[in-house]
Amino acid sequence: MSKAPHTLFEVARKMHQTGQTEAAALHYADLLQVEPDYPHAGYLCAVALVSLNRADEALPYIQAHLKQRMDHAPGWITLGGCYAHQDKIPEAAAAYQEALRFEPKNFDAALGLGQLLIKQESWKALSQFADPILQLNPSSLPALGLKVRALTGLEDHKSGLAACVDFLARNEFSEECYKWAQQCFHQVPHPSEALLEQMKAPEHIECWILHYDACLRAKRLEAALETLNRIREADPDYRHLSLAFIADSLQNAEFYAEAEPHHWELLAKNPQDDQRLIRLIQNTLAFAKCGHSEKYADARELATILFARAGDSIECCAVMNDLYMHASRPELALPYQERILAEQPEHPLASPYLFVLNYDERRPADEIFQAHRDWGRRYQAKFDASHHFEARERNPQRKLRVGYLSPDLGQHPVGFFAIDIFKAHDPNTVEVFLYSNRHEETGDDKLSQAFRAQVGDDHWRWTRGLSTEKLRDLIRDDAIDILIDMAGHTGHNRLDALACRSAPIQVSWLGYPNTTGLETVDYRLSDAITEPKGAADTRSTETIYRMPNGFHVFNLPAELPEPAEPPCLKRGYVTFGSYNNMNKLGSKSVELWAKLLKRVPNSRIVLKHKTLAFVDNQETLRSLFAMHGIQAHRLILKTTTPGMVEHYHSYGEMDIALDPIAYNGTTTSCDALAMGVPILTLPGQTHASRVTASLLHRVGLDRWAAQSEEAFLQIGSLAAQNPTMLQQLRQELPHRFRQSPLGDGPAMARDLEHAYRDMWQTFCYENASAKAASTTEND
Amino acid sequence: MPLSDSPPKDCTAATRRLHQHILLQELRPALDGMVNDGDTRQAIERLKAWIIGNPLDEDAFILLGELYEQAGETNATVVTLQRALQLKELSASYQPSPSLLRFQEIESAAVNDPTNPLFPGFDIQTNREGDTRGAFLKQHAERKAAHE
Repeated sequence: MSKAPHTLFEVARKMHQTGQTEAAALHYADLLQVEPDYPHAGYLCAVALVSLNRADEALPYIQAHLKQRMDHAPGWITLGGCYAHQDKIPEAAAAYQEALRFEPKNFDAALGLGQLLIKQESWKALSQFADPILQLNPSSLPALGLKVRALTGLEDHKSGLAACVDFLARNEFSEECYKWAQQCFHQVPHPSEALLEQMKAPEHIECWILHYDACLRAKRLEAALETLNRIREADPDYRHLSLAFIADSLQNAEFYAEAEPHHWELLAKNPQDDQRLIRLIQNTLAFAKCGHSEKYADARELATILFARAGDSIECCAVMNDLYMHASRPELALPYQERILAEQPEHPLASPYLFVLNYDERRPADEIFQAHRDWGRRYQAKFDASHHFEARERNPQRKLRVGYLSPDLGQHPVGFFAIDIFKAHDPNTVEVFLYSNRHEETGDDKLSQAFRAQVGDDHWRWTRGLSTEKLRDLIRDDAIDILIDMAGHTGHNRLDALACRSAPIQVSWLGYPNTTGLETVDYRLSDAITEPKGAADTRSTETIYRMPNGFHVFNLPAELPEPAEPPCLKRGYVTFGSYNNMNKLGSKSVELWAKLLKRVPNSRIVLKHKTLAFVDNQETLRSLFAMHGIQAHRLILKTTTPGMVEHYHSYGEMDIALDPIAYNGTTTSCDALAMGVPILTLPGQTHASRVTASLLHRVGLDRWAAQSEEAFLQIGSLAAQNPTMLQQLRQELPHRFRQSPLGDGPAMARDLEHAYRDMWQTFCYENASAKAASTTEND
Repeated sequence: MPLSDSPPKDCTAATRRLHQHILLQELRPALDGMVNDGDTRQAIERLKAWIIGNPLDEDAFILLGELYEQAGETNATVVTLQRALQLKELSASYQPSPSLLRFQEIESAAVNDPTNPLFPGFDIQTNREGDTRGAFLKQHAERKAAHE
C-alpha cells in the first residue's frame, strides 16, 4: 500500500536533511508523480538533483515549481543554477535577475550572477558588481572572493591584496582569505606606501609576515625589521617564520649586511648545512659587488670549504661559477658552467652560458655557433611558432609598425646607442612601439623617461613579469610588423617572445654580438666589416642584413669634456689603456698586450673597471702580466670613476687604447674615439671580435685594425713613437666622430627604415609566391 | 643539508680536470719530462697555462723563473722571480678571512659540543663532519706555521 503524500514528503525531507540526497530526490520524485502540485516538493527535488550535479533532470521540476510559485526567489536561484550548469548563460542570468526582482538583497542570487561573470571572464563587470555586494555583506568571504577574482582578472593585484588585507583587519582570521592575499602579493613586486600602511592593520601573525615581506620588497628595511621584532616576540620558536626564511628574504631584498648574521646563526646550528653555506657565499659575493670589495676574499675562502666538501655537486659548481664571474674571469667560470649544463641542459645558465662563450678567446667560432644553434633548437621546441599572421595586410608599401623589445631602454650601453635613433624615425614610414623589459618601479631612469617621451605613453609598453603568452599577445594585438630584439642572450632578455613568433618579421640588433640561435629570428643587423660575407653567414641562424654605414649610432653626453693632450707629451713614455669590462680581458689579450709593452720600452698600461676594486683581481692581473715578463709597476689599475664626466676625463690618462681580442669594446671604443684616443684592434673571426674594426672604419682609422699579431705590435710600437700623430688625433677624432655615421642618428634611422622596407617587401613577395604555389597545387 | 656524501677533498676526475684544481706537484713530472726532452719552451707554455688558473701561486712563479733561466730569457727570469717575491710577501701578510675564522669556530664549537645532535658519533674515524673539520683546522695550522 502506497504512503500518503504528506508522509512521503516528510520522509524525503528528513533524508534530505540528513544528507541522503539521492534517496531524498527519489522520494520527492515519487511524491510528485502522485501529487504534481505538492507544495515545495518540486523545488526541493530540483535542489537535491542540482546538488547531485544532475541539473538536466532538475530543470523540469524547478520549472514546474515556478509555474506555481512565480515569486519564490530561491526557486529562481535554483533555476539559474540549472542553466549555469548547462552553460546557458543568458537564461541563467535572467533567472538570477528574477530572483533579485522579488528579493533585491538576496545574496545567493547575487553570488550566482557573480559566478556567471567569472564564467564569462567579464572582469570589469564583475568588479563593478562585486563592490555593492561586499558593502552589503562586509563579512562575507564569498563576496570578497568575487571582488578578488575580478581584481586579479583585471591584473590589479595591488587592489586585490588591499581588499584581502582590509577583510582580514575587520574579521576573524580566514585561511582562505590569507591564501588569496598571498596569491595577490606574489604579483606585487613593489608595494606602495599606502598599501604597506594598510597591511599593518590586521592583528594576525600571518599578516605581519606578509607585511614584513612587503616592506622588504619596498626596500623599507626599518619598517621590515620593526615588524620582524613584533613577529619574533609573538613567535620566539620560529614556528610561523623560520630563521631560514628571514635570512633568505633579507638576502633576496638585497639587504646583505642584515642577512649575514641570520645565515651565520643557521650555520652555527648546523655547520654541515651546505645549502646554507651556499646562501652565505652568494650573500657575501653580492655584498662584495655592492662596494664591499673586501668581502670577496671571504666568499672565496668559504667557497674553498664548500668545494672541499661537495666539489662535485651542481650547486657547488654554480658557486664556483659565480665566484669566477664576479672576479671577471669567465675563462675559469666556463668549465663549471659546462659541467652544470652537461648534467642539466635546461639549467637557467643555458642562455647566459652562450653569452659568456663570446668572451672565450680560445673557442673556435664554429663551436660557439653550434652551441647557440643547439640551444635554439631545444628552446624553440617548447613554443608554438606556427602563427602565420594571415589577417595582416600584405601591402609592400604601407606604413610599418615596428616594435623594439629590450630590457636596456634606459641607462645602459644599449640605451646610449638607441636614444638618437627612435626620435629620428620618419612617422610616415614607421610607427614605433617600445617594449621595455625593465622594472617599471625601479628602472624608469632619466634615459628610460626620455625613450618614453619619444614615443608617448600610448606606444610604450612595460613587459617585465608578463608571461610569454601575454607578451606575445600584446605584441600581436599591437599589430607589430617587425619586432627588433635588442638583448639576445644578455640578462632579462625576452627571447621567449621571439621563439613563439610574436611578429611576422623578427630581427636581432645591437644588444648581442652573435646569432641568437633561434630559427624564428629572421634577420640580424650587422655590417660587411663586422661580418664579411662568407663564413659568417654559415654561423648565423638569422639572415645577416648588412647595413651600408654600420649599425651603430652613439649618443655622447652633452657635458663631454674637451680632450686632453696625450699624456706621453708630459710623461715621456707612452701609456696604453683599456677601460673595458674585465670579462673581456682574457689571457690571450694579456699576452698580446704584454708583447706590445715589451716592444715599447718604458710604456705603461692603464686598466680601469669596477671589479678591479677586488684585491684578488688586481693581483691576478699583475701575475698574468708578470708571467709574460711585465713588471707590476708598469700596470696602473683603477676602479670605477664616480660619474660620466670623470670617466671621459680619465681618457686623458692614456695615449692609445687597446681592444680585447675575443670580445671587442663597443661603448668603450666609442668613448675612446670621441675623446680623441685611437684604438688598436686585432679583428678575429666573429662578430664580437670585429666590431671595433667597423667603428674604426666609420672614423677613417682602418689602419688601426691590424691584420695579424705582428701587425698589431708594429702599429702599436710605431704609433707610440709618433706623439705628434697622437696629438693630432686628439684634436681631429672627436670632430670626425660627430661627423661620421656614429654621430648621425637621422641617417641611421633612414638606413634602418630602408632595411625594414626590404625585409617587409621580401615577406610580402614570399607570402604571395607561397600562396600562388599552393593555389596552383590545389588546382 | 650536505650536498655530497663523498668524503671531503675527494672530488671526481671531472672536477679535478678543471685546470685550477690540478696541484702544481702533479704537473711537475710532466714539466720535468719536457725539460729533459729539451723542450723547455713547451714546459714554459704549459706552466703559464696552469698559472692562468692559479695566478697567486708563488711556487709556480719560482718554477717559471727557473724555466726562463734555462731558456736563457734573462729579463723574463727577473720579472717572474720578482713576482714570486711579491706573492711571497703577499702570502706572508695573509690573514684568514673573518668568515673563514668564524666558520672554523662554529665547526669546532659544534663538534666539541656533546649535546649537539648534529654530530652523533663524531669520534668514529670515518665520520665526514670530523674529517671536514680536521682537514681545515690542519690546513689552517699548516699555513699559519708556514708564515710564522
